[in-house]
Amino acid sequence: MQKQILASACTLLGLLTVWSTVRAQAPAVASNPVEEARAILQAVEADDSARELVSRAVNQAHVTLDQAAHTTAPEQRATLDLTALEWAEIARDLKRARDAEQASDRLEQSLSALQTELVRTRASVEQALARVGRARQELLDLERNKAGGSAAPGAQR
Amino acid sequence: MLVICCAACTPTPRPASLDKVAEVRTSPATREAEAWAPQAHAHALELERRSQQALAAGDAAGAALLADGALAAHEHAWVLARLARAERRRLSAEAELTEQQRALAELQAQEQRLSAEAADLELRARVLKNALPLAAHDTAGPERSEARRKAAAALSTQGRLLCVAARLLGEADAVKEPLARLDELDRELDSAAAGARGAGAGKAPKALETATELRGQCLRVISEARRRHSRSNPPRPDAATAGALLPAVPADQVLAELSAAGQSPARDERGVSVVLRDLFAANGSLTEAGRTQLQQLGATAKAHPEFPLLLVGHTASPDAQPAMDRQLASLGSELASLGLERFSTHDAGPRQPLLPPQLPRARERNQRIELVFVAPGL
Repeated sequence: MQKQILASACTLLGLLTVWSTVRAQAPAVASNPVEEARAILQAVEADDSARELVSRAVNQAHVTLDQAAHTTAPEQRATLDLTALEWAEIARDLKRARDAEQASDRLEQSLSALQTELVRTRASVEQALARVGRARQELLDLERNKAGGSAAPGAQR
Repeated sequence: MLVICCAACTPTPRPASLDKVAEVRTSPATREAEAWAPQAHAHALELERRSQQALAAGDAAGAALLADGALAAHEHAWVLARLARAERRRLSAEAELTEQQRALAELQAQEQRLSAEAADLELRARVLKNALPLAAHDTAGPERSEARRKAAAALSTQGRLLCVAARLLGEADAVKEPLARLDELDRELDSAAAGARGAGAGKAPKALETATELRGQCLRVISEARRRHSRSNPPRPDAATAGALLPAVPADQVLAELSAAGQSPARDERGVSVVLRDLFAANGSLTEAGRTQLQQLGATAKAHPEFPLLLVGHTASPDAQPAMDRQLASLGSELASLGLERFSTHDAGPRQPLLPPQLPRARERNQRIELVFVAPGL
């Protein structure tokens, strides 16, 4: 039950995070979709690590922008501009998704190492408990010996 | 005219991209996008609807462009779904990691507590064991007597080093009496040794029992000092342990730092010790390598000012004693020049050999200087 609640909370948080990130990074007023698309493309193309991942979307965005530039009908041009912006956003969000996936991978690796450490520490706690038990018993035996006035065990020299 | 009429009545051809949109709309990826990115999915459907409207109005070119837009919007919805899934995974892993880190910190604290309790109980048992009377032994021959004398001398030296270490921790009053008795015992043992070398008449009656008792007394003094110190100074995280979940025990930190510096440190009842060899050249001066090693050790000592230093010289034979005294004095000056103030030197003589003197290479193994970082706490 708790796991389900946690999973739902994480989903909600995830969606909120994506929404807020997308909103926060989008220009405040999308006055001109062409300018906006070009700005996004410039930022995406500056990152070499994502070049292969986003190449198709970037290419589609450029092709659509060219197509829009050669279209004279204003309504069709507006449609093409918005489609170009959509492709630019796809490229940007693909990169974000990859970054989030890599971050998740790293966290899951840390989690796995931590779980190994937990198992090891649990075993150490068990050993420490046994050590305390043995030491208590030894102390008890020695105190009995002391009270009985006998020599230390193994003290024959 | 007929041709124009026919052309006007022909239905507008459906763009291929609109069929592709219909295909994409029913794909599993789009169903997933509907659940994870509903707004983006709704936007794609809206574009598809507008494309169909344009087609119905006879605007094939506009319908094709809007269908292309719908395809892009579907793909965008799918990418956003992928991003949302990755974010959920990340947040879930973060939450789990925090939870597991908390559990680990609790377990480590428990382990540390239990280990400290076990160490304390073991120490109390050791002190109690040392305080118990030894079993009475029969009259022994000269060889057995000599072995007992040597064992008593070794125990006496161990006791003395523990008392000297306790004195460095501020227990000067408490160690006065056992140190005075150890002096007396050593005189007896020396005279017994002289007797054994002479007519074989020298004996140190009860020396082993006395040495055991005095060693136990010194161990008790240093243990109590450490218990008091640990109670009033619980370990705190510092720069060196900032990354760890729990602060390390200070002596463990010193041990780790010395190991990292390439030394071979060891833990014993006095604290953390490093055996130093070949520090001096044949002419009695400190070698360059020796000075570098001492500077490294001095840096560790400076980083842990709560650990006083004890320099102990062990010789392979009594005739090496004057040279050892000179070496200890030289090392003392060197430590002082490094800005260290809390240290003491002690010449233990040949009473704690590592190897029996008759073995090959025993001389070079037994001749050594120990630098002890006296642990102030448990």
